[in-house]
Amino acid sequence: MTRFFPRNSAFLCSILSFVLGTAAFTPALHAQNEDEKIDLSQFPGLIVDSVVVPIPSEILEVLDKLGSPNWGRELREVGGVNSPDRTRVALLLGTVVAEGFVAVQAQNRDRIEDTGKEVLRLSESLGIKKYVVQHAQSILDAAKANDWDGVRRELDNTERTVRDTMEKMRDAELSQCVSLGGWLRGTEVLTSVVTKDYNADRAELLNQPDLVKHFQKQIDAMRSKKQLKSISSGLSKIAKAMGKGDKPVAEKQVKRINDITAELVKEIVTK
Amino acid sequence: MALILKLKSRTRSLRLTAAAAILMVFATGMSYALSPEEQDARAFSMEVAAPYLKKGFKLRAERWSGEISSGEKTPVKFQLFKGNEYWFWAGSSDENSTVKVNVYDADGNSVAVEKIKRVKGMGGVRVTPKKTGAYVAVVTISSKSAASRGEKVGWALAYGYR
Repeated sequence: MTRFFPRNSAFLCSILSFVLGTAAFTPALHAQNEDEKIDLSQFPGLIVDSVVVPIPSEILEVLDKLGSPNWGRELREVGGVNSPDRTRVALLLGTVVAEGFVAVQAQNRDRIEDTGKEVLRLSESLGIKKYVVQHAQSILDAAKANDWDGVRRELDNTERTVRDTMEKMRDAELSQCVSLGGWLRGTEVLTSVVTKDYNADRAELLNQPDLVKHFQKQIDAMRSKKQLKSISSGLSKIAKAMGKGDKPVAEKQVKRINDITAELVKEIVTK
Repeated sequence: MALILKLKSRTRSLRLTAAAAILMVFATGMSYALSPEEQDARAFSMEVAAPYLKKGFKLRAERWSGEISSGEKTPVKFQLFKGNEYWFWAGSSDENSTVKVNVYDADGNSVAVEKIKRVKGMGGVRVTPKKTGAYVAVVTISSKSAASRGEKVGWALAYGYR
């Protein structure tokens, strides 16, 4: 009994300290749990309607980590398209900025300079040259100095300034078209790279169904939606090819998305 | 009273570090129609971001900001890519407030791997997505002074990746 009591007492003490310890930490644990899980249905409007569109370099840099794509092979010439249609010019501007991001990955100074000049020319068509001129110059300066990160930063700033200016001019549709054009060209390049050397990690980068839905909703609400009919139809096909976004997109579907985006970009950039 | 508060806010804007202010100008370009509260919150988000940018994180030029009630949750949905590492930085216009920012997957589970805590007026969360997809960043600001006055507080969110 005397031997049992001390042993039992130690056991009870350890139980007691565990219980007290747990009780002492309970508020902290609750706070942590509350932070660890959230009911997203409490934000219905925002969550469904709006997804922040990533810039192409966020995706292209992952591709670089997964291998060494031949970025030079993905580059396309920019420039030479004139259009009185502001919607098309906005889409075009988006594709040109995206091309700039590809040129950064390729470290192709000439193409970056072409991009800077073309950004300026298209901005003039949209009546926003004065807001963009400083960024375009910075792109050219950074390219001359082989400051690729500086070029990337200025391309990002350019797109943001263009979209901010459009929104300030109460032309949110054009702002959205800049993002859409950039996403289409970025996705064309992404699928082209994945198609050339398919693997699940690369294909997973195409799990973007919410983003596609976001663009579809934006187009549906636009005054110029009739004009964007082919893009809207293309997005529906892309959404189908992407699936639910719960597994890497199959090789055949990657090729399909590449064909669709290539066709849509061609429509935008063809003279 | 409102004027005094505005003046207080503007005075505090001037107190922000020069580094954060310069960084904000270069990183964001022009900012349109932002309230002084949003400007302050953006500056704080840049202040908390600054050390991470030196570690190779690339700052996205776009910012998200507004004004909310103390304790209110503000969500922003992002497309994140597996293979990238992200930091989300949040700031408040009230330098004494507690700023919480967290990132959740589609099921509402936190995907945070590291957080900046116990720094008044600013916060941050690091995320390394296990899957490519849409995620929701949620900012919450607890401001005793704003709550006691029944006023809103400025919030801002920025992110970087590498």
